[in-house]
Amino acid sequence: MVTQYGFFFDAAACSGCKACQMACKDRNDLEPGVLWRRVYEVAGGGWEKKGEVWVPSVVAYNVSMACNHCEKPVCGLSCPTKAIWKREDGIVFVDTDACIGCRYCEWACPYTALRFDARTNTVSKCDFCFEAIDAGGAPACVASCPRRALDFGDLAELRKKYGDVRQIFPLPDPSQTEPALVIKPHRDAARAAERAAEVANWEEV
Amino acid sequence: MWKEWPLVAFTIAGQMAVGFFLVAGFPLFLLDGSHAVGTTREEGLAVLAVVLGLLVAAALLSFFHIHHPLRARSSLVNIRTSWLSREIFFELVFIALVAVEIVLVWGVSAASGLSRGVHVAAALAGILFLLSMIRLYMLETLPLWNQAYTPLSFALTALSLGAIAAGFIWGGIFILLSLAFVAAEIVISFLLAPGHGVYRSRPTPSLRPPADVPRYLHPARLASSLAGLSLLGAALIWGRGRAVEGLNGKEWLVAAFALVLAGQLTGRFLFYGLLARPGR
Ligand code: SF4
Ligand code: SF4
Repeated sequence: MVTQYGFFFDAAACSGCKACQMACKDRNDLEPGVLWRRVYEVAGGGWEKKGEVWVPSVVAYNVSMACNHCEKPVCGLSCPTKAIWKREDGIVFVDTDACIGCRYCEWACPYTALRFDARTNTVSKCDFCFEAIDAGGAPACVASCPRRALDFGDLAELRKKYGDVRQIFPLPDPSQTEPALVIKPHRDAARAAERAAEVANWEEV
Repeated sequence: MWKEWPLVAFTIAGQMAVGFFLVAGFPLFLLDGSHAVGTTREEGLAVLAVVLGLLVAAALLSFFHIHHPLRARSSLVNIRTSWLSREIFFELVFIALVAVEIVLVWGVSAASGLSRGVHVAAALAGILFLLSMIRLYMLETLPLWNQAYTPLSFALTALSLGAIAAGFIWGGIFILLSLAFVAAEIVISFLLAPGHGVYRSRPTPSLRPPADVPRYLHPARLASSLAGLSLLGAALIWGRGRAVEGLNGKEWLVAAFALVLAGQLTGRFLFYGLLARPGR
């Protein structure tokens, strides 16, 4: 039995097409402005002088991010109403009947996974497409990716298959929430910070 | 940033209630038959009534912040891990104890052992309310708030507004105290909150969008507090001894209070504006 579901994201494979973002919106019928999965475009660098020549030092890659169904879900630990809870298989849910809409969890989650939904006047977030999973299927984002940059499964299995990297720029320190996430980093990620990279598409995420 | 007005109003009113209770309530605690430090029972009751009024106002204002006010009762269920639950819990305990103290001082005597016991318990509840309010913003995942500025500024908001209000009633030492607290608040805002003055400031790396804080607010806030500080100095000079003796002193104090409060409100808008929430 799965004790902790998790996502795998291959930053080296992601082309930034945002099919995952749109598949998530479509499947969950999300209002404009509510995004459970977002694709961040990370960009930075420019030109670097090496000896007598100028060479490009551009940083450019994408990070697809949803709720990471953390093993230490600070969102739920901070929620005053216990509206955020963790299922036996590790999936973290928001109970919209219990949520009072105080939006504190939105601040607490460093992945900005919780989004205010004006239809219910509560927060909402990725539920791992639990109905599809329970029926033996896959989350919409994973199924939609044309580059197979996303995968899901038991976190222990994902780690065996893909390693144990959990952070690339600009994700927060994973010790804060213990995210159920495995990443294959893009080659530019290691030098993103020193090249002053930034998210380039804030209006989209 | 402006949409956080209920939180700004709630935190400032709540902190002022705590500060006023701790500073202005101190002579009340000492009150005995001989009117300790010149305090009358009526003055003591007035202090308690203002504290209660502020706390009730803060509680009502907080309803504008939540989107399901009818479910508010359930916000107490996660005391075990949520500082927000704890904050609400201690505010309710504080309100109840201040109300009990009013009844005791009114009906029995401020000098009774019981009312003094309730006063100490209420002060403790007020301090725990303030501490929870501070702690709930100091999460490891919120590096912009998880800094010394948060506890210092929240505590100094409480103490400076509380001391000015106490100075209005009793003058003298309380005006001096408020001068010290307001000066300390200006120093920490100047030294520890430089990010508040910088447009689009935020720590990187982060998935949080840049803050949208107007640049002029940080200097405006410092200027307002400095003007308030100068007026407090004027109040000390014109209203020597008990401020009631010279009406001038009181007028300076009211103006000083308004300016310091305006500075605090601006500072609090900046505080919330630093951490933008993506989406709506
Ligand atoms: S990613 Fe955020 S919302 Fe999801 S479980 Fe972790 S802390 Fe909670
Ligand atoms: S918005 Fe809802 S889920 Fe989030 S902390 Fe408040 S009550 Fe809990």
